[in-house]
Amino acid sequence: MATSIKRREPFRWRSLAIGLAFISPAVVGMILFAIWPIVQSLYYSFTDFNVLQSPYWVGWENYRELLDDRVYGIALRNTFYMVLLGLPIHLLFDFLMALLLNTKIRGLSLYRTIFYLPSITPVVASTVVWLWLFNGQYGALNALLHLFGQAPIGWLTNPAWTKPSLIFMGAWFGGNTILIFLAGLRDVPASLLESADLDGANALQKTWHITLPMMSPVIFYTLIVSVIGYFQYFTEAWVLSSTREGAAGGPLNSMLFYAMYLYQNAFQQFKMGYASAQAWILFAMVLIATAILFRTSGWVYYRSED
Amino acid sequence: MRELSKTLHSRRAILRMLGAGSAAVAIVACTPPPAPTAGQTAGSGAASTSQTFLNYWTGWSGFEFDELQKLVDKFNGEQKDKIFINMSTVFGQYDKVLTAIAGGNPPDVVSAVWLHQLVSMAARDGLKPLTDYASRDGIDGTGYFPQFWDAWHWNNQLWGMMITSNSNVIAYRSDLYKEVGLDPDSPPKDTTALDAAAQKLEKIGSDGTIERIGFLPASLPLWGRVFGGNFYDEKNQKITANDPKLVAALDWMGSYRKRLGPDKVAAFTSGYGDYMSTQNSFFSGKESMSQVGEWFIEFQHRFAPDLDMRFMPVPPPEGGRENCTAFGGSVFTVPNGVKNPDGSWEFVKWLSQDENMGDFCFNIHNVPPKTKPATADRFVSDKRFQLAIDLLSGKNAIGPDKIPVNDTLNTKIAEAETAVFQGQSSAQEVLDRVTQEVQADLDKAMERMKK
Repeated sequence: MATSIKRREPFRWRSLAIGLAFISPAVVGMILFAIWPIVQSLYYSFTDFNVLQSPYWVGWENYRELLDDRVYGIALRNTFYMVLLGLPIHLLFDFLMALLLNTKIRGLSLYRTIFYLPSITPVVASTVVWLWLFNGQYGALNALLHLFGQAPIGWLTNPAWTKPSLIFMGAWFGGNTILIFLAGLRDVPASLLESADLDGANALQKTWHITLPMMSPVIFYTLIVSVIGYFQYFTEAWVLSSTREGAAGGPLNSMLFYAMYLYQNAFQQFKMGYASAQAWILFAMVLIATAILFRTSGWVYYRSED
Repeated sequence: MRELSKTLHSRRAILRMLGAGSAAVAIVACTPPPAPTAGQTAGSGAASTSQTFLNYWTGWSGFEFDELQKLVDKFNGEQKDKIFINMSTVFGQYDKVLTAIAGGNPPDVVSAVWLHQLVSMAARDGLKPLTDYASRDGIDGTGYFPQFWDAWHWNNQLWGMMITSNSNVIAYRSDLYKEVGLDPDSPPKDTTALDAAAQKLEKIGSDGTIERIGFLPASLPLWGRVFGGNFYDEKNQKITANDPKLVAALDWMGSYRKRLGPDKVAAFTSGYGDYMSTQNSFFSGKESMSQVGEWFIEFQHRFAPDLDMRFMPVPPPEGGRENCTAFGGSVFTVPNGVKNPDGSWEFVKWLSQDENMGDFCFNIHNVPPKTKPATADRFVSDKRFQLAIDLLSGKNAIGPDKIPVNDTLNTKIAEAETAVFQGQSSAQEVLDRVTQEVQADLDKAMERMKK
């Protein structure tokens, strides 16, 4: 017996090697194209690096400079506006939509399809459509306002309106979140809702005391994923605020978000070191936000497996 | 055991084969695609092993790209089997150029470099100086418009050459001038007259919305110079964006929006149609006067052939610069790290010959940077073109400042313009800030360059 175990030992090593060889495309790809660049960017964040000349070590200078960068401050404020205001509004909207789409009415699958449709159109394409809906002169939204005798709004030209416009448009892209919420709603045990019915609970009470707690893991998951996504908010604002000259950010940088400013520094100004520092601060912010969410996740109720 | 090791060996062999196979695929995927054989382009000779294939990246697109391709075909034809140029466009993606140079696989010739970016690219070691080539071949700026040769130099080196150039003018519509009782034969000579004409040409609807605009000044880099200001003191390496004349220019530009209402102007201009189309705000009659360049003549031929469009020099205020134009253009450069700089230079030199640059410029209606082809009858028979050429020949033809941080300066100026146009800040306030912020950036760049 003992000898057979000993003899099998090298065989295991071989199978490990073979196993590794089989997953090597993924592992090598991961190391080469994800881990290595991440490590590099940490190094670059402490250098002055314009891609063409070799990086020059500057210590914490990039990070210090960010503190004084007025535009960085604007981008940071805009991003927090989106995370703290846009995100809750969108989640609430999506949840209410999911509740409505979970009722038993005629033509339900048609409604569900309609609300999911925007999610299968590419974001850039539908944002270009919104560009015209928001147009100050010919836009449908201002035409609607005109119909009710209201003054036109500079949706994308008035700095006070640009971010509300983005949030308004964002509701259009809620299809995926609605879908996840719908799946969660399907999972709420009918037995609980029925017993609540027998106890004489009304719809609001049922939603608050049964649906919401049962849905909490789904909501928590969506919240985490959305927070990460909103910190990196980019495409919609980029498309809506790009000009012929290539600058993006909207009037008075009111649509300049963190990821956009990072991109501009990295790939338009070629301040790679500066952009890397921004990227690491973004990473730290997302990490902290996620940690806070997990620490305060006492409200999430995980049903036991039985 | 033998059986086992045999199977293992065969497995290893398979893995090795797989590994070698995927490595081969990876190598093939990373290798640049083969240049097209010479036979693919009309007028060129048969492919030969000694032929040099060069990649050329241009920023031109659309019909301008097609015209340039004709010129490239001509070059390839004349070269027989020596050099073959393979042209592709990076329209709208000029960032790619630096990335390609940094990646060690640059195109052999690039013209997707604006004149204002030349110094910053040279300062970053992105370009090869062409000084030695030029002096070897006796090219010393003779025959070019006076300011150009110097505009391509920095740190006593030649960094590139243009085969096209532009001149700023204001286009106006004679039909609208007549409609409001202005004389199209004597357009405004100074900003006071321009203001008056613009107000006369305006059309405001009964509900207060703008229906037609007289004129809307844009671009501080142009107007600042017309007002007599300077953005940079090259000798002392100081940014002077808060020069009182620049402040006055921005104030004046803002006065148009202030009078019409910033929100109304924004709403009106957001309704402008596609620039390169019949829906262009000037052709469709939404704008009576528009800041353009000589290239707009070709636009008019294509999109509004029946329109009587005339040009005037940009009118200065009292004490400003008469007949001022801020020129620019795409610069033909040779990136650092190219394998065959001799071939690259050969192509740039050939394009710079009078006939070749003249043909291309004529077909896309740009000004040839050399005076001889520019003053050929095919150009100057059009009075508007003559004006563009006169402006470029004058002493107030001003090129971009030689600042390694020009992109930052332009971004900050654009931001300052918006702040003033929106009525959020005063011109003095924003230009003070631009000066301070860009100076900090410049100091840093200069410090690094020394190191």
